[in-house]
Amino acid sequence: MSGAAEIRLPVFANGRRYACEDLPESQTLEYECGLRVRIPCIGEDVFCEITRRREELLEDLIRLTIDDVAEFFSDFAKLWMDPKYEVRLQAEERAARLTGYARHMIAMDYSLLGEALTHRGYTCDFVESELGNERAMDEWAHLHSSYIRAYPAGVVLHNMVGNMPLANSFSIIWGCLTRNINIAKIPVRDPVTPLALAETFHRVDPGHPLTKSLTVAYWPHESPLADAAYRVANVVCSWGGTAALKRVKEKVPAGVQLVDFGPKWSLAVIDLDRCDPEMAARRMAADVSFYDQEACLSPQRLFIKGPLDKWIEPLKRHLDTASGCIPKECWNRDALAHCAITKLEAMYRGWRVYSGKDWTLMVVSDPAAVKEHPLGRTLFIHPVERISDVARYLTPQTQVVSCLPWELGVEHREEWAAAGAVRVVELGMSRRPQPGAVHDGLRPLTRLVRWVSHEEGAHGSNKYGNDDRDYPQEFADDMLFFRR
Amino acid sequence: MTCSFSGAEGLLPLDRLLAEEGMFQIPAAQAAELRRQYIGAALAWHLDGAPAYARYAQALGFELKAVHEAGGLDRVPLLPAVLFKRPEVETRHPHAGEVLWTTSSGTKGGLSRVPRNDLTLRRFFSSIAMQTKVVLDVEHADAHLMVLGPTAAEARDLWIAYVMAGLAVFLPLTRHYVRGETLKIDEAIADLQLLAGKHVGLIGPPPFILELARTLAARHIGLHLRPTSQVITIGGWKKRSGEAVPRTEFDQTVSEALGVRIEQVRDIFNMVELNTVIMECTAKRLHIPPWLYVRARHYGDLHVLPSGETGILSFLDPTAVSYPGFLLADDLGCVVEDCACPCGRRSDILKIERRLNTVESRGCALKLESTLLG
Repeated sequence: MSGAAEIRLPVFANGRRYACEDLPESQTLEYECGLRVRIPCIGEDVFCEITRRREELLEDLIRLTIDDVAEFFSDFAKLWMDPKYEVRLQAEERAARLTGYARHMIAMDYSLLGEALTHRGYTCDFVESELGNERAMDEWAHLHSSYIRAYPAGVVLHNMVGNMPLANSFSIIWGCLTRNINIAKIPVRDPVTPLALAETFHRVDPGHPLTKSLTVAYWPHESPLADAAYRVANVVCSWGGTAALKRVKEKVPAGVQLVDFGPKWSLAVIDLDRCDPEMAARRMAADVSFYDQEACLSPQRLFIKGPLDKWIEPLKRHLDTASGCIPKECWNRDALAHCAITKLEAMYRGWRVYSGKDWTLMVVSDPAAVKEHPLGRTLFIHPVERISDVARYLTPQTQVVSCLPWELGVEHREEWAAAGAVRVVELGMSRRPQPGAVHDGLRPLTRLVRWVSHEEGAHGSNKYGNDDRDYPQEFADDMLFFRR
Repeated sequence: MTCSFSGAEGLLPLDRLLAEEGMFQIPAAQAAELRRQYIGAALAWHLDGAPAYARYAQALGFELKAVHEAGGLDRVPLLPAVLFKRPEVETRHPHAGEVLWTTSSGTKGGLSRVPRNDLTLRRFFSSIAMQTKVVLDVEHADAHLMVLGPTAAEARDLWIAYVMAGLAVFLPLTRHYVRGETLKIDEAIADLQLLAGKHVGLIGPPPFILELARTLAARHIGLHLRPTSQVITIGGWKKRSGEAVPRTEFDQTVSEALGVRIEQVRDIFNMVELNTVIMECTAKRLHIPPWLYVRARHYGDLHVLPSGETGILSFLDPTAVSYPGFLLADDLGCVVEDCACPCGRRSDILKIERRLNTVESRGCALKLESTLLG
């Protein structure tokens, strides 16, 4: 592990790689852990080039088929999953130092990306799930009385957030699957992951249209460069909390589509009478520990039916085990302070509190009494008499309901969905979305494409028969314009 | 409002200290002993009469006698400021009698409500009165106070208005320039022009002061106030945090526009839960008065940090009798202990770094579940 206090990162502009020495200016990002990151400053010329070469770049991208994209991703994954691949290894180490996440956890997240992209089937199935047909962008498909095909939206600007390395990567992957020109504004918290992705694109094939149309760089939100980025975009894909999204909404010009992800909260539901308590404790501990609970899919509350007192012990044991595997290395003062303050609040309010080195459990009988969640491996546990009591605590901001046994989902998904949940998963599976899953209640790829329809003429075929169309031409025209 | 507080005899010497002109000349050891006494008495009052606080202390394993041991003040149970934002949580001392519920502006994560009875309010005003004289050096009977804030009557229970009113009480020539939540900037400028050669105390939140200074500069209006006039900021930038400028830039801009000496651009620290104000001297240092125990605490386990180290700020304020004034703030900062200041005073010095950031700012997880059903 490097002991240097300064990390130097490159940027990628329209597929070209620039180190600090290659550009006249660079900027320094400072971290509470004492590290500094030096990163080159791109200029407005990068966005001018995108405007100038937009047609040419899109022409190359539109020519790509799903097979071409899947093959590129497969090559990417081959390199990415190579245990000796130095770009990934260095990114793991640096991302861990900058984000405060355990390196092992970052490595697991990176592997998920590689595993997903290794198989052509994943890429094709994902596009099919999202756009209804894996070839939706490759050819015209006959639908009722029209031929339809999806085209890239144009230029997608990704405003990333650093709490979940995988989310950043997938934002870019979605932009590539829809053959868009992608501009990624890297997050301060984790500048490393998106740049490692871009570096790998570059190494796989620097001349590939997906590489040539990718820009990954940093600029402050309040800067002329940010305004220039918004001006060139057709779609803005934004991740983050309320304040971040509000700032973005103020900037996005009229006519530019905004696709925002977050903020959301998630929960777990366990019926101890119907599952293996040991497995429930292990999976609950994993879900609470991953991303130090800072992802929107991390459960913040647990609604539990059954003998809780007996179950607390195995839960504590598995949380300690999780601390061993993925230690909480958070040095963020705000995050630590929120946890400490919440613990005091719980003590004042007489809630039952259990805490370990990295985690805190609080048993609160009235879920409405909990107003804020400090994250940081803190679980509010609400005992319930009936699982059907849970739905009334869900909100339109609920993202994932993780349940055990899985059958709880079958029994209660209608009431949970009606109350606002957008994913129902088996406990422990929230960070591994299954094929066909939705994201934040929508199909993200549909927001990154422009659908085009070529419709049948007056004499074209009709799904429900051609009775109305068996007229001579003159009569058809008369029907359209002069019929009384 | 009448004072229904009784049994406060043990606290009365504190009232004498609040009005003590030599409060910053008390030797450090003696000040520490006074603090221990007054905080111990306040603690006994709250443990004896406030069941919720007593239960909390018990849950934390704290006993009153600990306050007399070495490091005892560091173990006093602290109420996180967030508790005052929970309407269903009772922080009011049951024997405090009639109280006024003072509130924060609620710009950051909900409205704080702090119950203050007559004695608590009187002590607050008393501490302001003497500190205004001994730290701000304001004792001119002819000083004109211009408040860029609403009158206490218009502000109702808004605490910052009380703080400003507290300063105004002792200076009869006072005008307010915020009405209906609007800063009457032209009125303020007209009055400033009329006050040439006079000693003026201009007080208000930093965005209003800056707006006034920039307007004066933009209109090329030169003022001729007495150079010893003062500009005193109170409260933060709140909803206008995007307009915040570094302190040195702020002081320079304001000093130039208003024609006051740069050392006379001062700040006052207070928060709605705290019953004492902390004022800045000419060396721009916040002097902690001797009855108040302020320490920075470690982010993780809340142990008290050594002098000068940054952490979460905690306050033990014995002047509050209608609620326990033992607070863990939402502010980060440090305390430099027993500091000899260039202004000639010797005291603990408070340095405020910033407010805690919300958890939401760290990602896409929703922290505030204000819409939780049920």
